Amino acid sequence: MKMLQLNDIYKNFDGNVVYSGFSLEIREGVTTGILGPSGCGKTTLLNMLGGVLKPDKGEISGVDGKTFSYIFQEPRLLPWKTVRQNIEFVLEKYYAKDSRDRIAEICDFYLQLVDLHGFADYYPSQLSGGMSQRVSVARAFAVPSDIILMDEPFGGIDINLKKNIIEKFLKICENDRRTVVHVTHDVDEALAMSDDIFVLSKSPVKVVFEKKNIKKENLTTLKDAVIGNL
Amino acid sequence: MRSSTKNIIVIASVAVLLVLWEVAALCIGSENVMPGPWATLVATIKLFGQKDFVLVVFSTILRGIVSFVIAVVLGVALGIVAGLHEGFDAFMKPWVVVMRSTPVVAFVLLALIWFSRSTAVFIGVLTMFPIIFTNIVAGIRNVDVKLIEMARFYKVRRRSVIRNVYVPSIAPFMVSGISSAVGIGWRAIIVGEVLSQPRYGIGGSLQLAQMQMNVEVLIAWTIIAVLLGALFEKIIRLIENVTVKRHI
Repeated sequence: MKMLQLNDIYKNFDGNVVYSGFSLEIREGVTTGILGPSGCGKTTLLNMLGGVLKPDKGEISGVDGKTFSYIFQEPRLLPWKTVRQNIEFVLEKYYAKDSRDRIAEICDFYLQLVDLHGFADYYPSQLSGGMSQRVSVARAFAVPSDIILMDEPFGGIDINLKKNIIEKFLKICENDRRTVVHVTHDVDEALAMSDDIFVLSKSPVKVVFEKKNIKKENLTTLKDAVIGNL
Repeated sequence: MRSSTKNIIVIASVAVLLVLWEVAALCIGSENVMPGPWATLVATIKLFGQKDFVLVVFSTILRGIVSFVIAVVLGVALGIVAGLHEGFDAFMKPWVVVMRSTPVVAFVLLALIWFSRSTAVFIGVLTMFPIIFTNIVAGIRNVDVKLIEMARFYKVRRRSVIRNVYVPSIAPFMVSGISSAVGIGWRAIIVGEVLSQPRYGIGGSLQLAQMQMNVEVLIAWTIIAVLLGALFEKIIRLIENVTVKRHI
């Protein structure tokens, strides 16, 4: 099985040691949930994986030449562009100028998957928070990326909407397997969405608990074990 | 409030102004000091027939356009640099503060010594530049770093980021800067003309009417300056509606 590997990573911020000799292996083609207390450096981990932040020392393998999508804590949609134009904005670079129809098709397909097919020409200000976040999910999948990085993506959304978005997410994943790295401090969210999970400590970050293929595990016992280590 | 009701109030307001004006003129009882609205209207219409009228008006408009273009080019270029580099903004700050807080007349008197004939253009640039500059800086500061980060994470091309993220964020600030700059700049240019006395110009004509105690001509030129100012504002509003989409 192919892996994304972080080997012996060191990262300091203004003299604060966040990572010191940290290593982690993430399986490709599955969803990995990374849990940890707020401010422990989970976002830093994603940024290093995505290549927008370089570690001070150590190496990251398995990411060269890969393309990434992101789902942030907030939808981060351009307010002056429609839902469709927002998705086109990140797709442009993957398709030639004459493939407008192809781009439109992709937009429609992914908007359909998140139940927003009627909203392609709406502006973000006309959508609710949950709908906007679904657009950002559609945007992440519309990009032909190898790896999707998610940074507490459903933090600000109420519980019912969150369940709904997670269902949509799992439905897309059934037919469209990508490597997903999902950072959160919400245990239920991580257990519902992930195949593998890691629990990280406060900085300097260490892995304090890990479990592969959690779909086969007893969720209640697993949840207790996770909470005990958080 | 319904727009028809608003229109009626606006018409009533103008009517009250005209009545007060007429009453004041009757009380003073001298056409040479305070001509009434009717006499002024006649004087205004007569101005249109004057042989140099078009030349006078266009000379002032031309000064306005030249100084506007210079102010926009400088304001946008330096504003972008200052918006992106705090050091340059700190460097520009004292200059801008001086330009904004010095009375226009002080600049005019100095400019008369330095430039004489192109005083009005210099004054126009000096009043409009800091307004445009400050707005561009504020616009750049207003760009949402989270959107920039999103575009960077998705590796969107730089040109597309400038066109689709930076420009739309800055546009409303740019338009509001331009519209207040034009309002203030137009009046400043006319002040500049009053003192520098170019061969043709609305300011010069105002000054001439004052020296000849031709009060109705003085007010007539003022009305033309006001109408032109209002026209420019209207044009800018139109451009604003076309360029700045309001979905935020």
